Amino acid sequence: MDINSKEKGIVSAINPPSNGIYSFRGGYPIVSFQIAQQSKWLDPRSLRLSGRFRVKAPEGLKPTNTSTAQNATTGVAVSGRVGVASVIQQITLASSSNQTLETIRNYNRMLSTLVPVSHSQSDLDCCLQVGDPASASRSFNSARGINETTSFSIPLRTGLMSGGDLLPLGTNGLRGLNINLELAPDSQVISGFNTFTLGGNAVQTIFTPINTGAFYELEDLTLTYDLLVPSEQGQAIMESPATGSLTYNSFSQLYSVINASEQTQNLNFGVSNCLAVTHNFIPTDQINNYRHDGFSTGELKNSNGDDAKIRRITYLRGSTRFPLDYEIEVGGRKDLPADQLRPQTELVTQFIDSVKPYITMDHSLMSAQTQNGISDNLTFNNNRDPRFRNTLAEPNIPVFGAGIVMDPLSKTGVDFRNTNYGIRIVSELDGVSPNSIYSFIRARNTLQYSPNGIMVSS
Amino acid sequence: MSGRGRPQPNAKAGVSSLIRDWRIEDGMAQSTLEEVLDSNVLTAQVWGYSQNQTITHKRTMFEGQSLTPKVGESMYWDNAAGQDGNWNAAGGVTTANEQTAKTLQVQHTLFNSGLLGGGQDAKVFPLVATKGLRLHMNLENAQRACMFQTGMLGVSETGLNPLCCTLAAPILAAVGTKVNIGDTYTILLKDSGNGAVNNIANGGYNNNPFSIGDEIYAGSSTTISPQSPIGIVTAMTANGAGLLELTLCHNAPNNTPLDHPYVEDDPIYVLPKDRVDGIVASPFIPDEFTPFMEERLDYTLSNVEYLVSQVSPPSGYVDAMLNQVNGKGMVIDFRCWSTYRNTLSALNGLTTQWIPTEATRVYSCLSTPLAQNHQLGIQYDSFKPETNGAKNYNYSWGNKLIPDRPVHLERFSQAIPKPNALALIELEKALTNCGIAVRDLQRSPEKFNIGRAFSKYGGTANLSGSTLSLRVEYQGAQEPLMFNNYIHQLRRIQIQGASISAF
Repeated sequence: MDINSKEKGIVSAINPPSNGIYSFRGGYPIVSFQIAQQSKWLDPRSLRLSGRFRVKAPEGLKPTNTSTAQNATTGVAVSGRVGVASVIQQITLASSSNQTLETIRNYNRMLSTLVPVSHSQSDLDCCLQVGDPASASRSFNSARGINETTSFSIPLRTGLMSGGDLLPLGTNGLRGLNINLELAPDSQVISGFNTFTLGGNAVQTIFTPINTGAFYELEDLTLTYDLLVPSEQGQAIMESPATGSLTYNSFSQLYSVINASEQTQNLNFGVSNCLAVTHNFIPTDQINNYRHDGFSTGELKNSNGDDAKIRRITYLRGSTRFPLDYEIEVGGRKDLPADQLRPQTELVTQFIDSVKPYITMDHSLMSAQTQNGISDNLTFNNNRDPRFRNTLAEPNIPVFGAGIVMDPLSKTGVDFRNTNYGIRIVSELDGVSPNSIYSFIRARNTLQYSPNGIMVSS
Repeated sequence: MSGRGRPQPNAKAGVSSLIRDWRIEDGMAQSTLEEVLDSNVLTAQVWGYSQNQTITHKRTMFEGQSLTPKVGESMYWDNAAGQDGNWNAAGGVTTANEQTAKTLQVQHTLFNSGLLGGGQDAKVFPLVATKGLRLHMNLENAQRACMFQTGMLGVSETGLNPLCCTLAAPILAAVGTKVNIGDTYTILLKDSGNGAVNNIANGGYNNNPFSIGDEIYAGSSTTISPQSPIGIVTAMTANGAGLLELTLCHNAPNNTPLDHPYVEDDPIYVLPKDRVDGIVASPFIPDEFTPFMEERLDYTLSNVEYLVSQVSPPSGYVDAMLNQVNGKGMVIDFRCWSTYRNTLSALNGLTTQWIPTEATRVYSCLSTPLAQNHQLGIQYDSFKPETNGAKNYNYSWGNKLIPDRPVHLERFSQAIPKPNALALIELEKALTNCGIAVRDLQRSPEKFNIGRAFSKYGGTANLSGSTLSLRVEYQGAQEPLMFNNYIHQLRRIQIQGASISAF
């Protein structure tokens, strides 16, 4: 189809609060946008949520994040890996007739894996930081970036928006787009930041007293995007009711808890074309807790703070091992010291593969420094000198998880409508330390449109 | 890994340094389908150009690459007292907290393979047509595959290595005189800031190259004197000024002084053969140090698995394929490397080497000059390409020069090495033509290679029917060289009935 011109679109939220400020604390945790039905194509890669963001210390004070001793206004920070997007707990994309296209619960937790796996330290500290001042490879740098009210412009990394295919907004297509954002609790979004002693030990700085609560606010929210305008003939085709379909990727999310040293999680995806599943973990008591980064993606942990190393992991479809017909053994013998296990290569490479093809992994924050605290890095010009550790990504903050690509060859997906997915984890969990598992399912959906309306099949 | 001095696989190629050659045959072992000799050398060259920050991290985490010379906690070696080593921490290093080797979990593709190398353009291979595949791998000698984390620092056969450590204070011959078997004395090493032992206290990094159980030798900074052992390291610590202090036990009967007195700046080092073969237990050294002395260089691979994804096509597809194999035959094209090695007989002047390839569909040639004398010394980086006074080069095919004028290389061998732009562009073209994404041209003199793309735009060149040769002119060369010439070509497997051939 011929494209005549490109338009720059902008819409404001359709549910503005009276004072124009969206916040969880203020009781306005829902932000809704509507892109009208029109005979144009939406370029999903251009879609950005823009606005102004600020965090406030208890009593509404301005934060003063510095490396000095902690006080009421120092240590009010958000996750540097997720950035401003950490305020978005759920995204729902729907057509104007409210046919749901994609719903991602715990979107911010999903980003805590997606962003560091697919963006390098340079990306976080330079490219992403242009549109998101809270983005950084070190939590302290991120915290410094939000001492003032900052403007931001961030992409919405949903499956539909990440696919790259142009989206028809006309009758033969989505028929407009509703975007609904649900904001996350302050205690999930905000936590402190880390600085490091000369010996390399982390020191957490967080505002005091914690129980008075810091919070965040958003204002001037808009959605910007590019529209491609077809020729008159093309517009006529888009508007003349016809039958057709388009396929797109979508994410969905399931939540569960693991506690035992050998546990199988059975999940019902209900999708017919599952492409991949990715899991990340966090101790359950660290969710919605100012004292802890709610977007940490570390290994399973026992309540004493020690890593509960995964020894074996098996992916199942129904009762059979799938897609790997073997168990991934990353622990070796039980008597092997835990620190001999690093890095858990076979497990982690599959996890990366579930986010993006491992073979194409050339932009990622993951390193021996983030995973194991080993600063095995050279200077920027590759001189054989160790790099000064303060120039590296934050140590010992792993980008860990489990995951598997279901169909790496044909990429059409695997049917899980009538069959459970299972993951069996044998770990060093002690049975009294509940850990939350966030499971993100990437699947291929089909949208069918006809004169009678549109229908989504997953 | 095992051994003193923190040996590890060559940092240029990680664990794939350990795989020298490999061969893929059909399931009946009748035909060799693909074979690369000195695959580890090729990997070491390619990695240097294809790296970026993330890819280096990936290779570090999963493929056994360890680049840093800092001897704290590393991928291969644990450190009982923390990240930055412990000789300058309270108590220093003793037999109780000497660093120990880690077991790594490593996973990588079969590098340089067109059939099983993976990659974005990897094809599905029809195992039924070849009755399976067989993979043979030859592991590399540990002395060639590995090097110390601190490189040549403190390791020498003669004491003339400029990277030897040096004495910070003189020692008298009498200090070696023992009354009891366990009597020790100390020596102090300099922190020259560059090349010798740095330490954290003085703002450098910890690159102490010595281990408990090392036999220390001393030489002379003013005359070429015979090497002389001065004792076994029994402990390491820092003095008040933060300098490295070695505690030594003279490996000699009681009441025996050192062979010589030594003065400030005299070289201090260990012999590579002691690290490779271990040191024989001695009646003059307390038994507790014997296990450390006897430790020898080695590596162990265990639980080796080859993981492949498998596709099960419909039975009709398989039947059709078998009919094709048994009828008109089946053809599979794939990219691969072939190795042609040459040893240069002349040190200087115009050298010519033949690359006797008969390949008909060639993409590129990559020529790697290696030092002959550095191939079996653990103290050397065996995969390091040598510029060695190269002035210019030309490939020739028959009597035709490729390119049609010499490509200059002089700047690579200058006191401060720099690249010659044209040579670097030729090399980048050659690598790109092999499907290698060139992401890093920094420090190109340290990864000096000669390359030539023989085709463009995805095409190939026919190099059969005449002889390909490489002419390199040398002036002021120091090291006798050998060349690994890697031809990247499109190879064809032809299967007809029971007959399988590859060419």
